[in-house]
Amino acid sequence: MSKQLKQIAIYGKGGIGKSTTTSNISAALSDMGYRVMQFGCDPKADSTNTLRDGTYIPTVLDLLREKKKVDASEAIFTGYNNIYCVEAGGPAPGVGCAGRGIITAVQLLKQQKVFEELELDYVIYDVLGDVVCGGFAVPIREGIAQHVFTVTSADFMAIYAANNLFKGIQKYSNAGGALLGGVIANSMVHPYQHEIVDDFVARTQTQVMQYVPRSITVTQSELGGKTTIEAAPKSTQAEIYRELARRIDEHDTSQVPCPLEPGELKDWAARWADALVAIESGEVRDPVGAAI
Amino acid sequence: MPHVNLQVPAVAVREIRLNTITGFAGNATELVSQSRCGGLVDQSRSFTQCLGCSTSNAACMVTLVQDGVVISHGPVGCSSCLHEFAFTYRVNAPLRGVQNPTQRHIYSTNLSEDDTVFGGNQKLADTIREVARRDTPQVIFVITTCASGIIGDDVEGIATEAEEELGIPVVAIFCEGFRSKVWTSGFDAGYHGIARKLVRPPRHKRPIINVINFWGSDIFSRWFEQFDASPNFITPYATTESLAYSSEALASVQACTTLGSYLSGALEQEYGVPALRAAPPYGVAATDRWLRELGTLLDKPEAAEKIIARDRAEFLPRVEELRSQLKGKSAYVTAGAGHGHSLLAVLAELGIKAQGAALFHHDPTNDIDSEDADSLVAAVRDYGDVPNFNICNKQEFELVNVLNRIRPDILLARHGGMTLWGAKLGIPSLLIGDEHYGMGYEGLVNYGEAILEIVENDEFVKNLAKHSINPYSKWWLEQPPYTFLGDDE
Repeated sequence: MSKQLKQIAIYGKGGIGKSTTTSNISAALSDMGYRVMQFGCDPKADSTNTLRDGTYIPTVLDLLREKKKVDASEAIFTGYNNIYCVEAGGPAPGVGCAGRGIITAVQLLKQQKVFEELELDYVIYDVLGDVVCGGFAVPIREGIAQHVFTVTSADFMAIYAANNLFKGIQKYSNAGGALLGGVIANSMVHPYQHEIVDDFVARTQTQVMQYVPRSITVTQSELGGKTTIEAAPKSTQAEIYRELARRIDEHDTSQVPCPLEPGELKDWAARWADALVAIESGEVRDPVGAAI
Repeated sequence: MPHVNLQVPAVAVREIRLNTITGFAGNATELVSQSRCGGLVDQSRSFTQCLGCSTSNAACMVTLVQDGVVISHGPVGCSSCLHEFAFTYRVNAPLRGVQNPTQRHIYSTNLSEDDTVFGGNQKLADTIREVARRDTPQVIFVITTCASGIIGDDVEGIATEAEEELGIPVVAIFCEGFRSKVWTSGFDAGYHGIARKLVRPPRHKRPIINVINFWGSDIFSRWFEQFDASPNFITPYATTESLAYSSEALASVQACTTLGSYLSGALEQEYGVPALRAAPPYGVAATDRWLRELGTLLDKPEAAEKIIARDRAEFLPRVEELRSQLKGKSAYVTAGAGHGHSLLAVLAELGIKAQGAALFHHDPTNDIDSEDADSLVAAVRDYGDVPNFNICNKQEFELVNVLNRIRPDILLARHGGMTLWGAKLGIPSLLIGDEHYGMGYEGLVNYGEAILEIVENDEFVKNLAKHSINPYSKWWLEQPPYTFLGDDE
């Protein structure tokens, strides 16, 4: 019986905790018994490091540079709990075209029917965030990923990146592209940060999949080259990631988001900035999101 | 069929799919023995002249569909040579009984600096609708270029969206030149698009046999009528309808294995249309095998025997005469992979010594995984080795060097622009663009007579040679021809 492959893309601004989150989702899904591939789509090629004791793997594009013909299986390595790890790789900073690199790497694996042969349940693309060009949009179009989740903090630049991604999704939504599953709110510390993200998802008509607090356990695990799921499976943080993975597993219907227009986003951010000053100065107001 | 994967929009290039090479020097037997065992190494050149481009080959396959139009999604220069297929369409139409060949409509989205920065998606979407409005075609083919490929325009998505809106197939064909050194990858890209978007499930079987070919004369009707069938030519002069229901054919054959095996493989895999696994019918041995295989496949072996007996009686006496007239002659061949092998078979059958060949690429295997369909394997098995066997993607500097040394009695070429090199050296040269001209017993007579005429009337080329200036230096002509091959430095 052929399996139903679920393909997911996780986007977010660089440095927001995308790879950390993705690797923990992969680890949790594999613990649930699924066959998982994590596909890093970032020229830095470090998406899968914490699944492999902090080590780097040769990337698809490294292999392509070395020889004319790449057998896709040479670019697949196994990590924690037999998760298949692939890194697209890309050019050095400042040269070449990283977007084309993603197109080339994704095509190479798709053409060689790798996903079918490995009988995967999940392919999770971990994609560098801002959808700056056509290449970075590849995982969300042509029927590659079905669901997109975006990792964001309450930081405005991260929210701008998420909003940009929503525009990309909206653009491809009527041509069979991926739809938005929801937002993973990362690095949550203060209650107002929840409110900012909650307000943003309400306005863009999506949902929060999980609030992931900033945690020293994550940092410790990463410094040890591991996911939290592997290094501290009994921790509260690991349970938060497991809950996120369960929600992603149960998630089946994604939506077209309603991104904010540049003017709307600017006004929205300005009002929040004002509200944050009020919070800092101890002024008592109505719940912030509702007031804006 | 492991090589055909219609799930993805872009076909895998030949280097990846078939281990195709473009650099080799040796003899034919070596090439055959190194293939299919992992022994074949593509030798790179430290100097090369310009190559063909996949986008042009994809355009070649789809421009000649009668009721279609083509949009090149790229800078306008990428379509600057595509008008040649309009010429091809017009001049070869009489060979297929197309009385009024309509003008070919080829458009370019004319991607500019701005478009490469801001994306060409909208321009393509608008162009598709404008073209549909102007021409009311039955199908729109969109061929990609390097520029649209690098900026990552969503050609597949836009085509699909337009298709739903316009109610006609809009076929995205991914044929960026930079993806492959083997420009025949462009043929595969065209066929891949056709197989994905145009071909429909069969309604019922019909007495047609798909002939995947270029624009050669119709030699097939005369054969197929003995099998109570008729040819369904793909893709030149086909229609959207005839392509759509190629799935209803009894079988698929190909004029050239390197050209046709991707589409015949796809039709077999998706719709169970059996692909004939025999090398194309050039030379007596291959013709007999091909007809007999077809007879077996169609469960009409007696019809094959009838054709063989009839054609032998009709043409073999003349072939015998030609053999004696051509005795002792020598030839050199330059052509695309599959057809070049077939020409070698024709030469051998006529008793002409092939002194070498420069063929544009080599596929060690094919998309129907059949060694029997491999025309070089067949030629070597049937007629023995060919020396000076060069795989070169139209590296004319090598060709001129070799011709200057070998000085054959005749140069046979399949592509325009190649015969001039023979003529400039005073070597009688024959260009035959009709791929079917040498097929079957009849083809031996055709070629034999044409060769005889050219060889006997060599005054023109001898005079031309006296007055020609060879653009290559004396130094180069004294170097070994493969000086720049196999050196990775």
